[in-house]
Amino acid sequence: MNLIKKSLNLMLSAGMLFSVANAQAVLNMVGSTTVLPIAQLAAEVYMEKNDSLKISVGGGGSGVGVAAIMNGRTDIGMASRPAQTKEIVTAKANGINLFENAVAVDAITIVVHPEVGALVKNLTIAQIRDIYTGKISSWAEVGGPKKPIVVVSRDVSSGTFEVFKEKVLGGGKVKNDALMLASNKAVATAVGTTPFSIGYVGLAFLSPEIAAVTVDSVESNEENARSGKYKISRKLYMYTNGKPKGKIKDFLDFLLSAEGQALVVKTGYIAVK
Amino acid sequence: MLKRTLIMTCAAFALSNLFAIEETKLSMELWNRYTMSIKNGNASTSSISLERGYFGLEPKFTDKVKGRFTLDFFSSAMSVTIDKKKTAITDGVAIKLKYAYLQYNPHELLSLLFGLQKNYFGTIYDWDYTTIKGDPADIYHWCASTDYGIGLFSYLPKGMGDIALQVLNGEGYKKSLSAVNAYPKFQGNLRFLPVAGIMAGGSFAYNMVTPKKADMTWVGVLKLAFGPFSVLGQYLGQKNHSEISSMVISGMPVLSIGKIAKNKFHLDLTGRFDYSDKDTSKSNNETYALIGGINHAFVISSKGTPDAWWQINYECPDINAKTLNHVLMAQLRWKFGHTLKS
Repeated sequence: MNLIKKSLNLMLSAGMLFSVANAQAVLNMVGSTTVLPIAQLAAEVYMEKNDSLKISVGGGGSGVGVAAIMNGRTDIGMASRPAQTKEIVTAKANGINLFENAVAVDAITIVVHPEVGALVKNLTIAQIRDIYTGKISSWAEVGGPKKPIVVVSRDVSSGTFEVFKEKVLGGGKVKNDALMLASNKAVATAVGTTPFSIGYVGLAFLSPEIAAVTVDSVESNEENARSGKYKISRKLYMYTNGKPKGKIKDFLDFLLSAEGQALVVKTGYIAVK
Repeated sequence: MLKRTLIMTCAAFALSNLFAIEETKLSMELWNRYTMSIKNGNASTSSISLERGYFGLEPKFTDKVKGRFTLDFFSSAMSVTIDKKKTAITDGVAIKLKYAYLQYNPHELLSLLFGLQKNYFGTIYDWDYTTIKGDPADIYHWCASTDYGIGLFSYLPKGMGDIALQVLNGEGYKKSLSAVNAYPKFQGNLRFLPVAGIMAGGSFAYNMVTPKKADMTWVGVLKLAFGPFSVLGQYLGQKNHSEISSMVISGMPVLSIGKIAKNKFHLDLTGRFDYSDKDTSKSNNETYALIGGINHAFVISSKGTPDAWWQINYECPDINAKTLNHVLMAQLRWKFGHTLKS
């Protein structure tokens, strides 16, 4: 009899332990590599305050972020571009309401190798377009050294590329020999280590290894991005299925609070509020 | 003639832009199927086949110009139509051309299509085979999934739905040359999505058989999707050139057990009911088909879409028949792809 009691107690205790272990709620976030630094830092700070919540953060790009929400695969889909009409229609037909939560503002900054940056301080939108489409192929044509330009771009599936394409390239196509890289970090590293190169990154990825140039004589900073004076700026989003509720709302409320927005600024982006 | 001209135009454009392709998507999707049919109490079919083997190429020339070319390799017992004659596969495999169109997008919402393209009718253009059985318009032979022609497709602003207008051969992708008559098919489709989870729409097709006679086909569609549950209802009607009226009513509920289990696994329970009346002026020619099934995805992409999944379906083709027939199907679907960037 005692043995049975002991066994039952053991089983109950094990069950309770299992329940406690499973009681930790999980919040999943995937998508844009541009939004990733904000999500990682915010998750870290938020989990310190809420040890009952585990936040899982993953990249993949804006397309993955929006699709993961559409397929019920994540709680938050990160995107550095607004959802496309096709995505909204497909989501609605499956009972998913792609709800847009703007969490930060970013200015896509044009960066060059420091050697070029010493000579070229400014480029116009038209010059950047011509460099990326191949009409301008030497730095000498824009006031730089007599050296061919090495063009570095984000790959076509990234939200950063889509915004760059819309605001800079117009209908133009990136030249065939451009290096197409999968993340902001990869672009920053490539430009920093490749002489005579040009690329574009989110504000959070600026570093002393690369030189930022002004666009149409406007610097990419908070004031100019907010006012719209800097043309290549955009909002960063965290998409949810409908208006956020429960743990998702709590996290987004934190991110949009003064403390959360300070974290946005700390990562190098601009507060949305 | 229309088909040849369109294909020549597509090919010429594709060749002239061969070196200007921004990216090309390569894809493959295969359906390995086991089918067992029981007729009059005896197993009449018990076979494994490759029901579909879609190989696709999707070149993107610019943001505004894209193409799509898809071949369907299959080894099933399906017969192919050549010059109005049905020919059984003798070499164990056959190939059909499924898509071959060029798409021009003058606006981000608007597309113009030239070539062998989707038939924007009812739900056939985005039918994802939740049940192994095809779209009602397809299985009752009122509309093929693709056809040769010219089309205009547009999303409505703010994701409120989509609209399409097409002029097509009317005979579908399996027929060509003398199997295609000289008269076109005119088709219109509208879908409306007022809020997430409610989709309503309809299509109308006017397929000319002679200068004075035509088949008229129409469909009304309603889909409700809330949480793990969705149901798709369709009413299809036809008045053919011989003045015979037919109708089909189809309902398909789906319960996503995976969504209830917060995506710890991906399992859907599916059902379907098709009521069909081939001639509404006569009695006792209705059929009531019933399907029940399970879909289980075991490889999921980072986007949350399945890359490999099982489907198991039981179908009773007519629950009112004097002797019940049964069909059991198990199907493994798997797909993969890659994007080549220039």
